[in-house]
Amino acid sequence: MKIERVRFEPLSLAAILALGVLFAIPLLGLFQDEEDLARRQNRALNEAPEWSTLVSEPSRFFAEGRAWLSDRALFSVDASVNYRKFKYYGLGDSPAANVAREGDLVLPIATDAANIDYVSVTGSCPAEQYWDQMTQSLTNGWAEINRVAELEGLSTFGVIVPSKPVLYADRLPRSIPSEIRAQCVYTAENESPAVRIADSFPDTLTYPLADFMAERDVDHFYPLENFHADGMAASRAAQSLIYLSSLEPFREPEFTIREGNADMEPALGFARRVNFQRPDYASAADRSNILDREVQQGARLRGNQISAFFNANAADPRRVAIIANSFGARIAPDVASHYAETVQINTNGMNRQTLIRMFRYLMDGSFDQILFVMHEPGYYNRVRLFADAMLEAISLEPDENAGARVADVSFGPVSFSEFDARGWLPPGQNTELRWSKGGRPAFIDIPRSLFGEGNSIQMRVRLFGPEVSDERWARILVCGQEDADITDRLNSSLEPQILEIEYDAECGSRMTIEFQSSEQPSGADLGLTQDRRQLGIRVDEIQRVSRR
Amino acid sequence: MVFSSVEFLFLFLPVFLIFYIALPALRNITLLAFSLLFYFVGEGYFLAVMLASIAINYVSGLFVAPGVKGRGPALAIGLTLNVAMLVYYKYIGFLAQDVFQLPANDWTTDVHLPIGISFFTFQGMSYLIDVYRGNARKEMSPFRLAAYIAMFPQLIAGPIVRFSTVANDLRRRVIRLKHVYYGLLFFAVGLAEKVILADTMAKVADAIYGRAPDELQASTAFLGGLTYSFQIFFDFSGYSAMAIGLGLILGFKFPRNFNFPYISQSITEFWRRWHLSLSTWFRDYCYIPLGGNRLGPSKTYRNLFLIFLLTGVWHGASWNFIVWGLWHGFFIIIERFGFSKVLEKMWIGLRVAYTLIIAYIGWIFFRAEDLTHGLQMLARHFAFSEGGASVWEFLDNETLIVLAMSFVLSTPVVLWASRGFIAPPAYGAWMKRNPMWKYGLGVALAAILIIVSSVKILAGTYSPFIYFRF
Repeated sequence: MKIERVRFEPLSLAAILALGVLFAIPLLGLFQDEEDLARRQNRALNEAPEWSTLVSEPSRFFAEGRAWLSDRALFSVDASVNYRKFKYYGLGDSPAANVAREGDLVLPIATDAANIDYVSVTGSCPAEQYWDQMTQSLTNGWAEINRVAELEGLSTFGVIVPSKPVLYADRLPRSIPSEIRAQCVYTAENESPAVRIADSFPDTLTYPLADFMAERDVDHFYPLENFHADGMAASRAAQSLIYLSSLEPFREPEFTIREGNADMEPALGFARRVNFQRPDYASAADRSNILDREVQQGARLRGNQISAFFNANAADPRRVAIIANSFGARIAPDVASHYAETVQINTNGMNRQTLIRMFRYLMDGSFDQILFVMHEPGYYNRVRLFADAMLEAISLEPDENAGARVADVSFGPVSFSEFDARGWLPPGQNTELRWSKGGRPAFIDIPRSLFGEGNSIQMRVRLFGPEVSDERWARILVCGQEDADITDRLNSSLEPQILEIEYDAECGSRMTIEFQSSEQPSGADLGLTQDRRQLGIRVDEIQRVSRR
Repeated sequence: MVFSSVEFLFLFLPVFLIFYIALPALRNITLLAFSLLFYFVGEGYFLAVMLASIAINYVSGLFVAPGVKGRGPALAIGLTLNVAMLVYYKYIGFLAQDVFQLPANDWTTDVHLPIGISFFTFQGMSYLIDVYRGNARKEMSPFRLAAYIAMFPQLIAGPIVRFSTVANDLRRRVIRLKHVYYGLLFFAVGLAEKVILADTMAKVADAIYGRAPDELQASTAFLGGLTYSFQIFFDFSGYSAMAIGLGLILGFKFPRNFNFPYISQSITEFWRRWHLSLSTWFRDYCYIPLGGNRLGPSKTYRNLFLIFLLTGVWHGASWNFIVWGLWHGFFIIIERFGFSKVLEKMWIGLRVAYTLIIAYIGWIFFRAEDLTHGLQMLARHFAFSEGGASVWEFLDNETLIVLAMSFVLSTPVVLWASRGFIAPPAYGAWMKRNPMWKYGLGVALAAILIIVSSVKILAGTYSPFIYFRF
């Protein structure tokens, strides 16, 4: 090309150079300490793209490069934190898409900011159509737990801790769809499955919603800014549980307002100091390293799953184990103020084998009581999970009608909102089999928002049976319409089939996949388990497939 | 790669600027090389499509200039190749399946749409026609023509720049401090329009249009349309302002693309204020060659109908875009038929309201996934039942503030008010003398807008420009 006559005024040259330098400042972030950066972002940073992909897959190279650069750009963490703070404090808004806020009431509504399915709310407020099935399943599960414990000479007690969506149902943020808010109000005001099961087992299980309701407007009771019930609410839950589990009177504590960090930091994106009503016996029990190590080694658990306490002035001289999710850590100090020895085990993220091992250890005679603490969202799943693991721990077959091992998939909408970055359900959930009972339909219900444009759902499906025959049949319906191709594939082979289902626009906002099958052999017939109930279709390894 | 992304703002742009000033003898080559890289980052090997477009227009351009024998057929061949490429990549699936109902096959389904193809194809065609008409000189340097067609500031979302607009600047240009000042201000204002206004509105519009229409209350359907009306304006206007700003910093003066269209008092005026580079393109290369308004009323109406049909088709291969184009065309025709005289007698507020309602209804079809969705969303505006998602599911304080800002900033009020304080970016007499402090305030404003926008971008809240798909 002929040399062009493009000239700059000296000042314009300096100005453009200055612009170039100023815009390049975020690149200084490439020289940051990566470990520190990863710690601040609380995740692994994206790796630099492979140079070889620049030629073979340029779009992938640049997409990975974009992610790599975005992770390291100077001020990116500060910008994110400050923008969120500005939204929270400056504008009075929720700082994240998956958190709803109205005034002081802050609550998570979804696990994934990119997929707002309100599962964190609906988990506490299930639709009424599922209540009967849930109650039945809960009743069966809790009865199994009691039966196993009785056989092992233990006593078991449980508390279902009311959650914010139910406790403050009438004050939920308006950003939550009105039908979900109405569902929560209905749950709070009527005989929900939690109320019914607590009424069915008044000696072993409690759901202190009425007690919570009476005090919910006490300053910092829950507190409103926290995800977990903490402070006074946790104390009331512990009190309610100990009222069942111990003959010794629970000492009514005094409460003092103290400041602490709200546990919503991962969702909010920044730490927030709030007030809690702390009971005066918070330090009544000492942490017991000896007991902690004993349980770690005996049950082969990780140290961060256990908190052990020793109380020299306990009202009740017994040794108890609290089996819980993350909420257990809030209630454990209250329980430890009453019992001589308390071990709290957080079962979040535990796989089935670990749970079985843990129950084997707990039922070997060294504990007097097992106390189950279940936070309201998802408590029905936990009852089933615990019952199943306890049965397995003592190699006992479940009752014919128990809802433990063979999960009733039709029991409620199975929410697949928790796909991880690779499109799979998180560890622990993906391996969980979902079986339908032979002769009964099973449903998977997936919100449209989960699919996104161009995505589909892939799953491994198998119809059980020793041979292909006319008596052995399966049918799959997508939003009420039979998918003949899938049905044919499933009927013509004994092997598991990988099925890919794309979103059908006629399904509306949710896509329901219905599995129907003939009555099949039991797990015991097939030599898989000791379970003698008839199996139907097994669905597992569900993943979202991105077409992008 | 979009202008409001981390990789463009903080890597591509500074590296390019430094190369641009560091290689005095190779500034157009630098511009071309970075433009090709810009496209390659976004589209990978579909860069070849753009290179083919450049080659077609360069070779055709050599044979269409006045005085060259056989230039008529050469123009026809050049234009046919341009149109054929556009039709294949953009419309083949729609034509085969929706129009001709042919069975699906690999050649008609899953055809990737190279971003910006409508823009660079129209630039190439305008080059050939201008050279043919003698309005521009044929470009002998393939690199210079490539720099014109591929120039990254306006490559993928306009404005559509005529070759004659930049031909002289490609050969010789002097970049003065005021170019940089105005360019910076344009860029900063455009970035803020996109990141602060359009993206905030997009969150609401996308969420509402992502729901089934029968799940929405009437007021929510209206909120979706309202926020989308602001989103598309600030998104596209913002991109154009950034393109113009970058062009100025590089020494080019791109044409104005928007002039506060939402204060228009008729649909005819709306199209004199909305996407000016496209409407003038259709006027100069289609409407006038078809006879314009010189052949009597019936042919004028026919020509207007065709132009707006083409305008709709240009925006996308889908019936809803065609309906959108014809919707506007219908009102242009009835205004020409005499309704404009009725409008003139109305109070100015009613005239603006009329225009906004027509434009608003058009945007419903423009935003919808397809024609059925558009009709359902429109019908939902009149469904006054209690059920469905309320507006409060989609609004928070930030959105309300940005919505209020959008109302104000879609009018020239702030521009007029700010003239007393800062030296504003200008299109016409843009070298007009201003006191130095006004430039200082202008730089301060640009810095604030860029910093605030950057915070939002770094916080991970940006979204791509929606005009890419056209």
